Amino acid sequence: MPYRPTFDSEFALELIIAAVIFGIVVLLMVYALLQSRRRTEPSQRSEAKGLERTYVLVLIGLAGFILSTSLISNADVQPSRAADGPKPLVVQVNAFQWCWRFTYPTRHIVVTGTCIQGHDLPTLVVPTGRPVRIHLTSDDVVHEWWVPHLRYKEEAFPNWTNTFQFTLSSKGDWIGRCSEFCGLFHSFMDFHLEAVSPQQYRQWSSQHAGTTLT
Amino acid sequence: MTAITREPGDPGDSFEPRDVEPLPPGEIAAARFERDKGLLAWVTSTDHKRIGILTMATSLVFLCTFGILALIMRTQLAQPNGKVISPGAYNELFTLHGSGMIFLVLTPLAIGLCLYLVPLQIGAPMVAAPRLCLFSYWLYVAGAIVFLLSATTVTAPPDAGWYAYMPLSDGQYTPGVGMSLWILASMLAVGAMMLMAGAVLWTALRMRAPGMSLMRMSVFTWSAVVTCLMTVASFPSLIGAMGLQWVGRVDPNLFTHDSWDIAYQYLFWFYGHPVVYVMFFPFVGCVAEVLAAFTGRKYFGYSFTVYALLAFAAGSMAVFGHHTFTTGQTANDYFSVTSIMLSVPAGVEYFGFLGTLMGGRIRATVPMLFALAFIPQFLIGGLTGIMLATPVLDYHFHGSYFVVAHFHYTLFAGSLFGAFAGLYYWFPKATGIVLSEPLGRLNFVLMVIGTNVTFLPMFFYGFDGLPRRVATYPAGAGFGTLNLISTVGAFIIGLSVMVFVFNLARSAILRRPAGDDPWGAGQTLEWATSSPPPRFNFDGAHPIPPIKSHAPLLDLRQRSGASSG
Repeated sequence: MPYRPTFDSEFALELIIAAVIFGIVVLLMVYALLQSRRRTEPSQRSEAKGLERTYVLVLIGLAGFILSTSLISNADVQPSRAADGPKPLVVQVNAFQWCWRFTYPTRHIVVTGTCIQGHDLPTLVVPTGRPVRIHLTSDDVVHEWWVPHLRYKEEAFPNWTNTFQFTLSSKGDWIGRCSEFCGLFHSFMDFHLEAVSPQQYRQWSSQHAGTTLT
Repeated sequence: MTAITREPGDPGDSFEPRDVEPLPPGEIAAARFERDKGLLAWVTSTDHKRIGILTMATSLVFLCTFGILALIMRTQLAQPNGKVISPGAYNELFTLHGSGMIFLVLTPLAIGLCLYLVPLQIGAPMVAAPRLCLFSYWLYVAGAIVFLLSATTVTAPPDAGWYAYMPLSDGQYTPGVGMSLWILASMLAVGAMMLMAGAVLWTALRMRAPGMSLMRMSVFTWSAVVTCLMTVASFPSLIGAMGLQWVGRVDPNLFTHDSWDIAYQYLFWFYGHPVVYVMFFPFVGCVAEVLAAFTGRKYFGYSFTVYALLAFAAGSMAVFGHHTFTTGQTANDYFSVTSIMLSVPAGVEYFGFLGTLMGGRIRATVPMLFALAFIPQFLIGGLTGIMLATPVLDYHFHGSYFVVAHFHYTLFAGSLFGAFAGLYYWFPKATGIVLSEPLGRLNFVLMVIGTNVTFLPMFFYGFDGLPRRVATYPAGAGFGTLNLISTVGAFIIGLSVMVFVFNLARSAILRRPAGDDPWGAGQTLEWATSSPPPRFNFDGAHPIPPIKSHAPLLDLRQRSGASSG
């Protein structure tokens, strides 16, 4: 399953659990403050072992439930090993101080920029409906490839390649950012992710085959 | 009165005429206490109370210093495309703010409080290894001086962030002496706190008064024990990581393989996550003590809380990997399981808080207000922590302002509120003078407003895609208004801290004396002795009361109440 729907359902679930727990704690505090006004002497009771044991079991059950959803959702977003479906488009992404370079190996297209002052940002052009497989690495220090719209990020290490995959179903242009601090101009290290129709993508890739776009 | 007998040939003979009767120990102590006034006596004292106060006072000075850096950053971020400071200066500021708050403020504040309170609460006359503690304090000061030197190197102050990932922090990408000094400073400060924590642990385990069994130690002392356990277990890893980084600065070409970069992250977080709990548990202890005192009852669910603290300390050593979910080189599921399981002992601690409150007669003193605010505020930090321990959520939140909001809710809205509860509660005990309650309430109200106005919006713009550690952000991305709100909140916090400083100064001038137990609510041994306590904590006029539970003074009051009524 793609990152965003998985994120959305898991986040909704944990937000509801968190809100309920927060609500219970606040209600108990309000109750404690109100009952305190009626009380002339504090309670002498200092423990309730039976209740505590039950409570620990409930906590373990709740934690077990949350962590099972955590494991299941994480399994959902792993790229499937199945060979069916369209062949993914492979893009090599290099992060460097302080911009990005996108290489399309089959078409020998290189897209890069300078990112100076948030201008001259490179654009990662991908077709809709086809899986995009990113090979991510860094030329220098640790960076991080983040597209908030996708709800996904991955770190870019030098001398190491991380691989991940996503599919965009609709056309659009979204901002991508570096989210691991990487030095002086980290703040300006943005890029665009643009999804176009498969037809537009074919046109774009044949037009720019073998060139470097800056 | 017993005369000291000496064997002939004892070297003591030559210094002490035999016919003079020595003073009894209590009077010697009192005489030395009188003599030991003045600055020099303070900074060379081996009294755990003085070393503890010095450590906490030094850390509070740095709290204000690095807080001012935060205000400069918030000013820069108040509007899109901020031009108040350059990106380079901004990077230096967040590096100094983050690392300073952790190495020089919250850790020493936590361990210093443990050093001050633990011997008193267990009825010990002194700390184990007092000279080591004094040495630790000065090692910490040395670290702080080197830290300030690194910050003022004109050419290149440290600017690689508090976790200073390799290879960004190596000699190639961050050249200059500032970064090297910063590494030395962090090693000194962290090493100092490790030694001090070792001494506190030794004290709590080996120097308890007769009757003070482990399961009669106060909740604060237990929180200090687990804090010190985590400190001695995890801090060496930071020293190792910094050593690795040092080598990488000398010759960046040594570490050209990925293993070094990822190993550094693991080593760092093996320290970096437990340290979060080191900066947190003593203040949980403060909240627990304050809740018990101002509800007038024994802390509820004591034994479960103690076991929860120990379980938490053990578990805390196995969660460091949740900081590296997005590296593609971590067993994410394993660390998700360990991290989420920590919510079980955390939940047991909340049971203690709420259980104590629900049967209590609540007195809304200033320490109690801070303790009450701690409960829901820290809960926000804790619940968002579960989200960050979920890999699919962390793939979005990692490195964003959502994380900044989360750890400020734990460390500011949590730890610092607990610290203020403790400071207001024990200030009269430690100094013998009282603080103003109305000013304390003003301090509290401003702090609650400032904290939530500053940090709550960060969840939203973090969710919407603003990475942390950016010197500025473009207009039109919708981050402007919420950032402005955060900035306003930050200045309200600044105002609140000014009220606190004014309160301290005013009390120091007025010097209204506090009795042995100015709150009339103390349950633990330190409230049985004078304010401030004598050199060896308890004396003839202030003996250690009988210890039958974790609240010996409450037992005493209830017994005398029962016999008179």
